[in-house]
Amino acid sequence: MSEKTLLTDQELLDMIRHGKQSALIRLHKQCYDGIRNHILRNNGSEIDVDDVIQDALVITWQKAIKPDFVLSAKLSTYVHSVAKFIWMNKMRKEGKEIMFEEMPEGGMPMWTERNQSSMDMKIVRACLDEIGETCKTLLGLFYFDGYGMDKIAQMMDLANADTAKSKKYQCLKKLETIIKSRYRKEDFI
Amino acid sequence: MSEEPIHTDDIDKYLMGQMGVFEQGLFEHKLAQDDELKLELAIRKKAMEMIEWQRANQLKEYIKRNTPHKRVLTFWQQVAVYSSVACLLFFVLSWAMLTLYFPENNLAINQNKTTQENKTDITDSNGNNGYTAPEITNDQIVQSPNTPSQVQDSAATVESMNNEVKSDIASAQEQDVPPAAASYNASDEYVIKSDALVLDTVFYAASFILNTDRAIASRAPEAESKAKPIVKGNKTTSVAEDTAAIPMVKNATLTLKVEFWQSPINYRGYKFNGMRVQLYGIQNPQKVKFKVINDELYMLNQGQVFHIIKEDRYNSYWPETDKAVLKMLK
Repeated sequence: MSEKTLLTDQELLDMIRHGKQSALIRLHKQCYDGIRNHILRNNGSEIDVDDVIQDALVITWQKAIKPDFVLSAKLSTYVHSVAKFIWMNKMRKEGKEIMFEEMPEGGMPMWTERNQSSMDMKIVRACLDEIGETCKTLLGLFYFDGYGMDKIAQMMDLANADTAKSKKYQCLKKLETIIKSRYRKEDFI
Repeated sequence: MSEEPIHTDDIDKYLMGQMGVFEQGLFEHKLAQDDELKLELAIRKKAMEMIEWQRANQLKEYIKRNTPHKRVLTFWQQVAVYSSVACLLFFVLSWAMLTLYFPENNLAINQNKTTQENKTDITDSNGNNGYTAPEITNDQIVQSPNTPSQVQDSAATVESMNNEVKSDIASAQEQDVPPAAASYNASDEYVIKSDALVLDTVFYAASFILNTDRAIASRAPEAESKAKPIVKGNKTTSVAEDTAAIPMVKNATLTLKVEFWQSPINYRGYKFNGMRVQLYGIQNPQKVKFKVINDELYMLNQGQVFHIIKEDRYNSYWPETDKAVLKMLK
């Protein structure tokens, strides 16, 4: 498919659901100017624009990849609304006044708020490096993207869903063991 | 065969919000009684956070890699860019304003005027068709040259201008038209009104010399004031008056080329240079006479006597007041 061809929202959704990340680049092109103008008008900088648009696209990806996701407006409008919500949250944390924006459908995912504040990034990176690339990808596809075991087996060239499930269990146990070794029991309770 | 314990799936379902209300209540009841399960849930939650963070970062990296880099200018870079643009605009506007107010046409007109004036004088000097052409001197061209090389350059410039003038005169003579007229083209937008020659004639002026050396003192008017009075008995007279008694001797006859000019500004005056006299503002040339006394030229016009001083510049007519001179001339 040519890069210059304008895709419909449904085509973009299908690309996302099939794990084609190039859909994010197309969405970025469609939404960049609008989001940039909004952020620059509301005390933001060019660096903020890049951060916010990336977060908005990833959230959109995570939401749109689920089969039950129903698009009630244009996909670019959805991304724009998410970006406005992210920016509003950031401004609110910094104690600056900004017009309230409502998060479209389902609120913010876990990773956007808590992980960066509650996790020691050095430990996280060390833990993830220890489990290896295959485990990272498999666990990511299951927990972040929400794919089923059949789809994961297909995407990762595994024999079948049971193999994928077994591999997932092994990877998870490996990660939990590393986490247990890095953290104390009191850190969790 | 999966080795996964049954509650592993439950933890995932609980954390991913995939349990039904009844199932969730049951799980939370179990969770409240089982510390082992509680710890397992906490560790799973941490693992999920890490995985989600890692995957989100992976996608962000992909977006960053594949979207065009937007050039972000710092504040000072922006200031530099805007200042440069402003300066450029200023210079362009200044140039435009200068071009509007001082177009090249004006310069061309000035140059044209200068050229025409020069040409008018140049043709006069040749004596053809009543036009004069004074030689262009270094003083007219060079403004205080400071170095020998500048002097040489200026001299060369004068020389080249003179050559140019001579060639103009020659070409005008060949065409049998006045050079000044030739220099005026039909396409000229601006016509410069210049002095007009009324009459060009030759005068023969009788030259007299006083038969005494003392009479020399009466040559120049300024000499008169400096002259010491001569005492003859009780009578005191000036040198000039004294000369009246002394007989004059006709020395020679002088040939003068006299030109009568009319100026557009009604200038009255003269210029006596070499053997040529240019007279401005004389209404009746037929009544003009010249006489030379002790090498000083006097013009007689309608009962008045004017001393014509030999100088390379224009002078006004100044009536002679020396009674002795007046007596001799009349």
